[in-house]
Amino acid sequence: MKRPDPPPSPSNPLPNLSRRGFLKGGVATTTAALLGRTLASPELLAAAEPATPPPTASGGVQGLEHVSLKTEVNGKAVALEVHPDESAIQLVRDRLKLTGCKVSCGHGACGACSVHLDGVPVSACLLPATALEGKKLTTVEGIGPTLHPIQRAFMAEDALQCGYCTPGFIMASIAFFESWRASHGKSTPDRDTVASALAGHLCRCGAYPNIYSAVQKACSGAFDAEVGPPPRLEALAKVTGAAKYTVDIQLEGQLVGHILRSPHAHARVTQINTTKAEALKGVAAVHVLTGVGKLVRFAGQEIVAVAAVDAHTVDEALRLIQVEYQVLPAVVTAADARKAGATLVYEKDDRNPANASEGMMLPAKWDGNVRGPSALGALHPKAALKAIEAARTSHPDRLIEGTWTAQVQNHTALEPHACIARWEGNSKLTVWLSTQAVKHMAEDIAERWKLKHADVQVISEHTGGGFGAKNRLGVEGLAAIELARKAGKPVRIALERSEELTVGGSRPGSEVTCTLLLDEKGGLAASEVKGYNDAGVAAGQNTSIFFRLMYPKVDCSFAEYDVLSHAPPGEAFRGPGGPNAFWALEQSVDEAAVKLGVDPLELRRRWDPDSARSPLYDWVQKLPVWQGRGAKSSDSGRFRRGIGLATGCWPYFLQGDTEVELTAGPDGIVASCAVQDMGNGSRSVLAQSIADVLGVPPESIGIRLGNSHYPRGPMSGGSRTTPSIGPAGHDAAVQLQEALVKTAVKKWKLKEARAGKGGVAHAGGLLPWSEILKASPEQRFMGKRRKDKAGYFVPFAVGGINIGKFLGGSAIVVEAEVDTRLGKTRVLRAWSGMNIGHIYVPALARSQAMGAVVQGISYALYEERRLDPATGRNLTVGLEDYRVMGIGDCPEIEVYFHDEPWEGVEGGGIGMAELATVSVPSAVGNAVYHATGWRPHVLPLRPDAVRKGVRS
Amino acid sequence: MIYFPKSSQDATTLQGEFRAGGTDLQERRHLGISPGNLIDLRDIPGLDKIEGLEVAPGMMSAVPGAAPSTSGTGQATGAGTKTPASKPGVMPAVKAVGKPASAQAPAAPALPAPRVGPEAGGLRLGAKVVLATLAQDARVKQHYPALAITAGGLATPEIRAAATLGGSLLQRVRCWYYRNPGFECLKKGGATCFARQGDHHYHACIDLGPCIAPHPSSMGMALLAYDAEVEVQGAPGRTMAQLLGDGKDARRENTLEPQALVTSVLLPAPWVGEKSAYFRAISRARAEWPLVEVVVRLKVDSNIVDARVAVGGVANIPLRLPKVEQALIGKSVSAATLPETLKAAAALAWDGTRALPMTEYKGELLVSTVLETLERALQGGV
Repeated sequence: MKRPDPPPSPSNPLPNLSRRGFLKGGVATTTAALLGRTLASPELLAAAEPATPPPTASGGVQGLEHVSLKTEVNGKAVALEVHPDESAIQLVRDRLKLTGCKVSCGHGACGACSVHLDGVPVSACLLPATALEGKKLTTVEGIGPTLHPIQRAFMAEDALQCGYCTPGFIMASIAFFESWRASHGKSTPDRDTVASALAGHLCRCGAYPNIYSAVQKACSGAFDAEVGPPPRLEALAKVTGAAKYTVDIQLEGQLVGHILRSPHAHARVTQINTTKAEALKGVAAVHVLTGVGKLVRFAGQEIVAVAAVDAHTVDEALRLIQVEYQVLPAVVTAADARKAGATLVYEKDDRNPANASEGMMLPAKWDGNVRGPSALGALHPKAALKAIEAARTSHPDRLIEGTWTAQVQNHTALEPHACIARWEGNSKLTVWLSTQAVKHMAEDIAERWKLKHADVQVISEHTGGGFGAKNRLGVEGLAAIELARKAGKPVRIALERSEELTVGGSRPGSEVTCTLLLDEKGGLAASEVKGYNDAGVAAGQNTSIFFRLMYPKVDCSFAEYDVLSHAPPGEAFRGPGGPNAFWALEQSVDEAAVKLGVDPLELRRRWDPDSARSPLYDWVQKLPVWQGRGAKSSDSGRFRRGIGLATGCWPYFLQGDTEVELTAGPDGIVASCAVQDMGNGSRSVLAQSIADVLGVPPESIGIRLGNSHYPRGPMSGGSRTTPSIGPAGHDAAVQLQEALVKTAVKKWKLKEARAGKGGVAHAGGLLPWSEILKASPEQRFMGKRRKDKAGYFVPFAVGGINIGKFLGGSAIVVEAEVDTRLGKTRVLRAWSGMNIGHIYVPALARSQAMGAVVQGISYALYEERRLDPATGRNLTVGLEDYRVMGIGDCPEIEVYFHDEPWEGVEGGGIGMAELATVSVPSAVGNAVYHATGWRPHVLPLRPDAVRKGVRS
Repeated sequence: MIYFPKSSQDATTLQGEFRAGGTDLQERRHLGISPGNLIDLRDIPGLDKIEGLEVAPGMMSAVPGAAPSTSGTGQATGAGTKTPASKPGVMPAVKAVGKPASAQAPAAPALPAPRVGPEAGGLRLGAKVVLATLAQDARVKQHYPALAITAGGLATPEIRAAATLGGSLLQRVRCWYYRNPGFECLKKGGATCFARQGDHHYHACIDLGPCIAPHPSSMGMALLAYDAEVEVQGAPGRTMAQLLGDGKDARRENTLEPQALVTSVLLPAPWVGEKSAYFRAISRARAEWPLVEVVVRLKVDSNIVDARVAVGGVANIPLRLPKVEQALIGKSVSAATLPETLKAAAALAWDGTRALPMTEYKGELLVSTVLETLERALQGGV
């Protein structure tokens, strides 16, 4: 019995959606186009054609095109038809709309799609839908009706940041909790046991330390009963799967868009024929992204985007598009690109690389593929060079020299880049975008498409991580908007993990050669930095500037270059340039301490004039781990432990035009701001800044954000969010408070009335704000981000950003253990100290700081994008091959804030997302040196390199 | 097109790729590199049991030419270099205690309650037994400890809960060229091994054949160390070494004939006094494909009387290391020189001759990992 193949039609969603599964292999050629998004070669496409049409029946067994399925999902019977290749994740997300089950890696490596099959956690992405027959499936939405102790624990312990991985962690943790309780009762499992249970889950924000404590405490019984409100305002939505991310948006009549990409790293497009694709039934729009005559400069570059009624059709259409290329010789690595006579990535008249930094890209000279030098921030460079040159003959022992290499790192937020664009006519546009900058994106879109600002709305209610890769309008956004305009229907484009790891953003690699010159007293006399940055087809990373920021009065000479190659574009990544710079600088300082025979903490005190770090040095001094730090290479056995210290700084950025609107009336207080929350805690910071003024609980303040129609909020880049929205929220709250006091005095004739905690204090007691609000009409107050009394580094905003007068300071200590037999490096414990002034929401700041340590260690030890040297195609296109830290690798982390408000800074405190991570890899390097006597110069510290190093 | 055959025999009459847990296949279908019909084994009963055997299997090794060489001249001997895959083999006369797997097999006579242990037979592991079950099975844990630990230590808890023994044995390589739809490599019918010319940092350090992707099956490696055999529907049964082949066939990871279905794995009688361990060298703590992995089994009284050392991650098939085994047999486990003995034996794991330009480190790591696993086995194990 052959079932009829239902026609693809949006008005017939169920059979249509069941067809959608078809894309995953039913016709192999379409899938090749889908996943490789076009990296598939024509030969492969031909080879992948099914050899012969399959028989409908063989040996008495019926062959089926669709399979009838009876199952139970979250306690409800479900009967439907599924495609043979449909996976459980497609079934629950696309057909049952249970979007708490998150799509992320697509191959069972990240755990975001974990669901329970008959009570046992499995990865929905690898589970055939047909396997659900007769079984019970539970998604995070099926937990309840009351919160599970694990959910309460995740909320209370703040075991989440962006929250995208959270439902998966919740599902695995619940299963673990139940089995633990059954076998061990109310007792506390150790970290190793928890790590084993959660080994299939990745959290890119690095919430692991709090996940450990949440699971451990829940098992012990600490959350069997309800607890108070969580520190993170939106935690409930995130632990229940209710939080909607961009990829979860499903509009009526929404089309699916995919992008055809170049398999070649360097080629000229000579012909594009989209006729057949456009003629395919169900195809709604085609948009060329790299036109005929244009150059392809990296494998994976976007050529054509197509929108169609479903994924199967869109991939079929991509297959039907004929693109012809004149393939050109490519330089895939920075090393090759630097060679004399190397093929040029940008010809003289076409030098317009993308900006790989957060700042402005300054003009520079070019020599072949090498752009530069930039000497930004140098101080008396000639004197510095002269002194260093003189020392080469007179005092070579006073020079600390080395070349320090850092790899390309992918941002790979667990929510991929995604966009849904919906036009109303030709003039109004709504864009759901996974972004770090709703307001800036709306403005950018309005300008590009020549629309009125009021007619463009960008929405991101929850952003599933960004780390710098979602600061700009990506090609997925451009394409979705164009396709939606042409099709006259909403179009959704979400990147697959393979695309995310290729074009979804990467920290540029670097090779930094630096020289420190010591004076006769062991002081720092001068420095020289020569840096080569590897951002593929992009440019603009700067590392040398940090040498000046750390030692502002020491003469320094900088020569920094971009090396352009036929590789995917680099992009600003949390503390851009920082980890690369400190990997060189902080290990060089450590080396100087060795040379001088001085304690590395003592040397920093001697060299470092910055008052932000001096209390951190006191803190390090008192750490038992530092006090107990022995001589280098104290361990002589197989396992060697060492303690490493690194310090760091990061500029203080803010967005002076930030506004927060407060609406207050009988229904309560609501704050609105066009800022976004990507796990950094915007909601909580905003609520806290208002609650602090009024003396009310933060959860009593309603927060509206993630929409560009709200008053102007900051981009979440350059660690600017908190110091922008906090003071603006405060300002609005002060206005509200003053107005309410006036109202109270007028209405209730109070004596000695003044603002008190939670209401108006007066001679007769306290009149709560809520009472006053109940009796008042709705009022609005616009809070401004007032200027710092200390002024700014430059008096005007540069590129919309104000540069504060101060630098944040950090000190990080790590204890690492090197297994000299197997070459494995583990960080056992870490202490992260920061001086950033006032801490707005300590619990969340702590989470973010710990996450920054996790990311820094992950970069130092595991992460590495690798390209095929011949074709330039990305090889690390999944989260198996692109390794990020798992929970079992996470050290115990202690966070210290020198929590004293900074005078002259509005709100008294600055941001720290970047500060908290930039020095982590160098601290690991110093710890490895302290443990083994071997100084690592090349990141990451893979087992093969460490084994070789410690045995050399 | 998908089929749901009701028996193993029906399954082997169909054209297509078998699907059990789906954990590997689902990804390959998604990538578009494994097209064609699906034969879903969901509705075949009886393949998800672990059964005690009255009589231990083991006749396969008596088949002329079928035994894995344990005295090979190479440093590491390919598992089953003399595989007579095309010849009809002889199935051992194994009696299942439970219901026979194949509906076509004669019904087993009534037998006493299964006894599993040194004095009894081995175990039959159904091909659809999921790895999490295998790892937790009391009989497997007690008598085949390294097998249980291997099953419980690979991949992630979610994958172990869905992946089956058969699927784990017969999964395709994890090579980043093979899994990338843009490369038409040897395993996809192409003429080039892109890894050999390109980035093979995670590939073989013992180069046995045209394809240099490490064999992906940790279970295959562990079962090799346990002298296991497989029962096959539609083709002769064979030893694990015969199943895994010699690595010369660039297209495939095993010697299974088209549409032949592995229905179960047979474990011989356990060893008395087994000390064993499984260890994988990886960069992170968990959930990572091995750089190198090792299973060690030692039969110990006061001396090491027999040994199995199997390794994975280093060649395109799991390997037994006969030279290492031979260097261990007869050695006293209480001698003061034991650490040196183990070191000397481990040093024989790699002779440095067949590494690729980027994988020399793996050869050295192999020696270290074998030593690590030997020590773990003798320290009480796993």
